[in-house]
Amino acid sequence: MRRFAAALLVVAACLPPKSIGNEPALLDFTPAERRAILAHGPWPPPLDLDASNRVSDNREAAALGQRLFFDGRLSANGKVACVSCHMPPALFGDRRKTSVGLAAVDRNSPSLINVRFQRWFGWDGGSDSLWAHSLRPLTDPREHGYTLERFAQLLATDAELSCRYQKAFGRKVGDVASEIAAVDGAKALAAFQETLVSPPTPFDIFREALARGDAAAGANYPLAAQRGLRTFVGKGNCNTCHVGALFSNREFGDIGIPFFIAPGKVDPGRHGGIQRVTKDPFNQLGGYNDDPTKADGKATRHVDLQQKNFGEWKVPSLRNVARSAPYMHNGSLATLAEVVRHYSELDEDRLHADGEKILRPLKLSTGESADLVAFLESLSASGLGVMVDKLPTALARQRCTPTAN
Amino acid sequence: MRAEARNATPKMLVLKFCAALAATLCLGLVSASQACDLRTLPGGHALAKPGAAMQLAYASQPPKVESDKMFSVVIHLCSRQAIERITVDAHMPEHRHGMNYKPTIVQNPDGSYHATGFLFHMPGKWEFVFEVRAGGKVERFSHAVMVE
Repeated sequence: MRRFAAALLVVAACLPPKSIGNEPALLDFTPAERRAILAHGPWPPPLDLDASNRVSDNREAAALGQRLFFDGRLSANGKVACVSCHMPPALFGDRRKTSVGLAAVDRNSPSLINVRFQRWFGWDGGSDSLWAHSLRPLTDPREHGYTLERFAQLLATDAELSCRYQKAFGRKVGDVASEIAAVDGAKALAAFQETLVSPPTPFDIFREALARGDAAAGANYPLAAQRGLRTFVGKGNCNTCHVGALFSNREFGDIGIPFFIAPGKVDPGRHGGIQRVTKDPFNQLGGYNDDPTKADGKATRHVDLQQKNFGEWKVPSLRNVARSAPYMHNGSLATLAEVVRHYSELDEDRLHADGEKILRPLKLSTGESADLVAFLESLSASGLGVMVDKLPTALARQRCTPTAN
Repeated sequence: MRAEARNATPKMLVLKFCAALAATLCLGLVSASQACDLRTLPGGHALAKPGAAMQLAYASQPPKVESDKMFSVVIHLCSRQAIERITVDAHMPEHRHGMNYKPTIVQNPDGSYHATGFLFHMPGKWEFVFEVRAGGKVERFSHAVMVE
């Protein structure tokens, strides 16, 4: 009898903690799991200035940028604005599989929230700064179909925009060449996008509780999410690429998503992005970078074009992921459950032979898949998905008063 | 993905000659192990091979390598013969892939080398690989680091 009781105790000790009724519980995370979990914070990370942008974190510039962001005049037909594909109710994405500007494009519109923390911009990383990336869709014939000359002209002739430009940049639009004025406009757009930072999520609250050793508070995090988190940092190895507070290593990977966009036509992904960014006159190594040291140009100087880059795409941040469907560069997966299934049943034949050897079918059970989805859902904040107090909206709404000369 | 330094320009030739001369002079006065003394390379790793005619020490800058952050590497070499070429690369042996970046390497006036442009884009085990050609022979050094 004593032996039986001892055996029962051993079995009980091996079972994961369970909630009794609605009682919260905390899983027995190992020290290694705790380290891995803590590595996903704190949130938000330091809001570093973009040295290449003289108006980075400048409120006047952000207010100008907000006005430009919503302005359809920045397009060939006067109707396509940045907001057309980056809508606030869609967390600054557009919920379409692939986006439509003046014409249909081949890629999904990514959320702009937390975009300031990226190293490369766009699914292919074809830009190395947020301001350079803001110029790209403006001049793309399928997106805005606009020109830098017309952008500068708008900034110079619209009294409100002109006034705001002067306040932000300390000079008149007409005092600089049209290309410089247009780049300044893009830098103001970047200053606005820098304000789009997501608030802490249920995961962050859990992580903080874990960091301070508050088991009671940690136990408020749903058990399904805890189990999913354990899979994320364990069996799934998801944190190999989805690392850090952003849940992204800010680099690129081939995960077996087809890149054919039409019969005989492919989207080269990172391979094309590297070629584009290294030739871009607006890259960090060029004369439009406001930082004379060009310190942030290191990545562009050293980026290495390799055959494996073909079909690689940006590792997206998972923050707000539950609210930014559809997924992948081509929006081909509609739900988080489909994303988890993609990794669970991964078709290894679709991966490059010379690519990563870290991807394999996870073969998750139904319960494990559901738990992983529950964890991913806990990475989203409610409401607008941004810290409202950081937005320059109030300033943008005020009428600009010209600065006395 | 491999950074390489070799005699490319007249200026570099002069620098290399001076460095080689200095190294030769240095080696004439002290033993190789003393020349590669880690005290001259704080936070560095000495990669000595028994019987090798060459010793190498390197240190990353900053000293702690973190995933997703660019860093550089300073390399000190002690060789009985003039260095003809040095290359440095890094890869994840278990993942069978290297970096997404190609470091460049230059020689410092003091004879050491400075390689810039490293970025380890994943946590896990990475391995630095240094190849040094001197006296017509190539010596290979490797060193693994765990990156969090």
